[in-house]
Amino acid sequence: MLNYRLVAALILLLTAVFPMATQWAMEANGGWFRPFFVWGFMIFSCYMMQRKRTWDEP
Amino acid sequence: MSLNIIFYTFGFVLLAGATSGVLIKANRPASNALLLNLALVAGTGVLLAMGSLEIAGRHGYTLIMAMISFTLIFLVSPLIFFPLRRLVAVVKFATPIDFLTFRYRKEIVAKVTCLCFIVGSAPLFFAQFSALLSLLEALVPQSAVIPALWVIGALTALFNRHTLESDKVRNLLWLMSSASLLLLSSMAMTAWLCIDNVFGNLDAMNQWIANSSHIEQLRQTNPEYSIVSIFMIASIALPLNFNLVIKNEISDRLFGATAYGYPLLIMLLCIPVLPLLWAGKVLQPAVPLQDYPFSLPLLLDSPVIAALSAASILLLAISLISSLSIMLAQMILNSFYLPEKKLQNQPNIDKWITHRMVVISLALITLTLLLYPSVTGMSVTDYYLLAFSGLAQLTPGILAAIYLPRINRRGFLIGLCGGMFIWFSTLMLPMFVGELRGLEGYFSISFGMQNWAIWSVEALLVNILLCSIFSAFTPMDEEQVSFARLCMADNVYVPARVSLKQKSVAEIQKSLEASLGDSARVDVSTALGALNLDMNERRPAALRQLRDQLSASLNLRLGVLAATRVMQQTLPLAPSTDKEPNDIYLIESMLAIHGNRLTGVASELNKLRVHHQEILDNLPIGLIAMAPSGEVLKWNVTMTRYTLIPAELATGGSINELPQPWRDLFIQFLQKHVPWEDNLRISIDGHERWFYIRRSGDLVDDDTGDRILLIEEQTQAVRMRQSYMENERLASVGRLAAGVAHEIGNPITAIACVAQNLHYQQTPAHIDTATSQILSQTQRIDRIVKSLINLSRGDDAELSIQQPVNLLQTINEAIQLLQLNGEAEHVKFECQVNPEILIESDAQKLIQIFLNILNNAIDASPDDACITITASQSSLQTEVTVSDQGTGVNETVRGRLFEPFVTSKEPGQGTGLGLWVVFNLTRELGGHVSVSSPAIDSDSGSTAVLQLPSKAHQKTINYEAT
Repeated sequence: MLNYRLVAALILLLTAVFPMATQWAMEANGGWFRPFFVWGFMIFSCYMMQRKRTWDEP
Repeated sequence: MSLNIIFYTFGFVLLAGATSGVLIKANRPASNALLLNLALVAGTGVLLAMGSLEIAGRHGYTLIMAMISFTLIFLVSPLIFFPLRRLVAVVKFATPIDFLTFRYRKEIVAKVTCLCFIVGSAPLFFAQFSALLSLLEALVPQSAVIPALWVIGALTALFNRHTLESDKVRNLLWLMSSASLLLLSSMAMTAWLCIDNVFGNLDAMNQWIANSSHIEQLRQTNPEYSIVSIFMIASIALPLNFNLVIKNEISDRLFGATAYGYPLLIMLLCIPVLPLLWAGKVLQPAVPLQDYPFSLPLLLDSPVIAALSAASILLLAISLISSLSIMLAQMILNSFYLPEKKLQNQPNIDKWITHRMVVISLALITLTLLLYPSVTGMSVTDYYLLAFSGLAQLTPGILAAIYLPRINRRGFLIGLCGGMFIWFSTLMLPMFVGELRGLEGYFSISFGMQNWAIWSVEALLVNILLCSIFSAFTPMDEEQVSFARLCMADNVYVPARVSLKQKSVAEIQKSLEASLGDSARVDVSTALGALNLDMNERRPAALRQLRDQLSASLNLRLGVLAATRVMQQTLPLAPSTDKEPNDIYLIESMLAIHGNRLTGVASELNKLRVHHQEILDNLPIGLIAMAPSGEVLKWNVTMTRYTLIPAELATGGSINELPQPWRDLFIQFLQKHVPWEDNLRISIDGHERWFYIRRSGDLVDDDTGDRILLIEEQTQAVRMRQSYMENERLASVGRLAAGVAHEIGNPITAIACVAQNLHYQQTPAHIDTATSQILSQTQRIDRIVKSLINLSRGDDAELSIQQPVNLLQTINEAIQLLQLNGEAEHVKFECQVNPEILIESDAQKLIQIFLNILNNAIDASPDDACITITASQSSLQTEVTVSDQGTGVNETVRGRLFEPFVTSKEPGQGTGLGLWVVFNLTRELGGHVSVSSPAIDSDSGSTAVLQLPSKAHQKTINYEAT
């Protein structure tokens, strides 16, 4: 029952994606809105995962 | 200016209210998802409207990290919230306290956690009052600020009353979504106003940022990881979040939309924060950061946008105060009042509950308003940080409840109390009394919000440490172990197959009325409607489901403690001596619904289950699995085909509740304690059907395991057998007919002779003699014809006429028929049968039996041999033996004598059906036949022993369907 895909995605997010994304968002010449791009990408990924989810109800 | 703003503010409130009303009325999936996400945003109160600016100003991009972590719990909702929702779908909880009480058991859990929620949530009230005060100070004269705050408090209390007395969910949803709509538009409009008026346009702002050092300040500010952690941890225990998560009215699909919708809205609200912050840097207003959303539009001479911000702050504060006070009121009621309340004495429980909740929520608002003056001086952000670190203490217990089954009540309570004590003494208490004097020597770090980051994490660590240590070294009782297992994230809730004392819905309703009074009727009716059952329901599984449904609805209305008490008092489960097995019926139905959620090995096992299920269903024989109590657990498709009773109706019901004639058929078989029985005849609408039933397992009356009955229809086979037997009978009649015709010929010749002589007789004496001779011959013919008619009577083979039959007469009749045929001329019969022996049986079948046995004896006997017939009778059984002095039975056929087409005679001499017919007819009469060779008390010949019941034997279960 444990959602292995989600756990794997979380581990990947915390170990690889998050440090790289933070570095990219905080770059000296980058725009002030870069952290929001990272956040938006996370939300979009979640939306894609939810979209593929099957629901028990009709 | 102020009056204009107040006017516009009310205008915007009305506009937002109308927009929300339209969205609620639309009731479409998209609008409902939007409303839910808007309500969640409003659940954070004024944090996003005011607190976010201060966090960004103090800690830079930490705001974004904190908000990502705050919403992360929704992004990963399949890990935490969905397991909770699965449990809630069955057990139902109204508050997070009910969940914790359900998991950790005992009233003390409810009381302690309730107190923690109240104390932990108090700073949230203060934050809203602080925001309202800031707003009022800008809008109304100083002297009217406090009265205006009390007026807002009173209006909130009135709204609470209206909400509780009408539609709670709808009203709160309306208020909160209105507040969020205003917040979204106010933040966007204020940011646009600032960019346009302060910088000129977006490019100019970006240019300004590039030329200034402010962006570097945002980046270089050390991120406050404690804020990030506490925001994430607190978001799980935040009462409103938790309450929405466990709301039964929200479907899984709708809740799934919060995973991305809620973070998206929060992100949209955070984007304008930075432009506002930079506009403030340029304008340098003499107000705290938290007041920028309202003050900057005023500075830029835009009363409309200032009013928009004011309206959003006003509604956000009211919606949080309202929802939080209602939620806490329900927690207090469920934890302190209802468990002790004698509900049967209360005429209208729902009204009583509503009234109490109104009073408690009013008391909470009043108390926090009274306390607020003594805690002023802190910013909105400080209050939020304080509340979040307090509420975060409840999160370890919640997470342990779904992931750590070893955490027990003692560990949870000691950890919670330890964490709350540190939080209260180091952060909450200094808020009221200021810096604690005299402790400087003992602690290197001073108490108070200046060291919030340290103390909040310390409190949490102590909580987790104490919880782990005490759970590891203290035992758990059986009840805790069972409920801990039940709450696990990967557990599928399956109630045990326990038995209820009540055997019908009416009995359940009557029992419930003893505790709940008249409202029990409504509860039962609602539960029946939800389960799609009716008042006549008697199936044990359905009654258990009804009990669970009632328990769940009472959990929602009265809380876990009061509901458990009511259920234990009114609908107790019958005491069981052993551990009850799981409710297979419910497991099946739940797996059928939720099977697609399973992954990995569980999914494969489920496929295997479905495969086995299909095998059982498609077996060519009927299968019934039964609990020891008689409850039907499995009723396969073949059974439905045999009985026309759908599996849905039969499964979960008792075997004693099946329609006739099936009920009697199965019950009578079960009572006999035999492994199998065949030729069980039942009659439905005049149609006869025959069945074979076999039970599985030992014959030992074992009450611990389930029983399996296998049922096979034999109607076709029986009809075929009857057809063979009928043919055999007609063949016998044919064989005897020639002898009979000859035998009738003799008296007819005699009658003819006498009749001719009569013509010449003149004296009356001679005429009388001739008449007597004619009558005598006629009687002889009559006797012969009757014997033949008895044998050839084409009875309805399905109808057995059971009547007293004289055994000797029947045997003599058979002998006479054989003698007529001439087959018995070479043998003698010695009939040692008491003429008074009567048995209740079918005369025609008996003649057929004796004919076949005697015929075999005659065929086997040499000339002048004697065939001996004896009989004895007891009250139960009559035994007849037929012994001959023949050659005996060939060894090769001795074991198969009663099988069809088995004969020891020469080819063409016999069909091999004689003894097979005897065997079947004897069984139909409830008797038994055996052949021993050599004959009893002899060296040669053979003896047929026929055992028949002395009383009538009944095997048919008649049932005329209506």
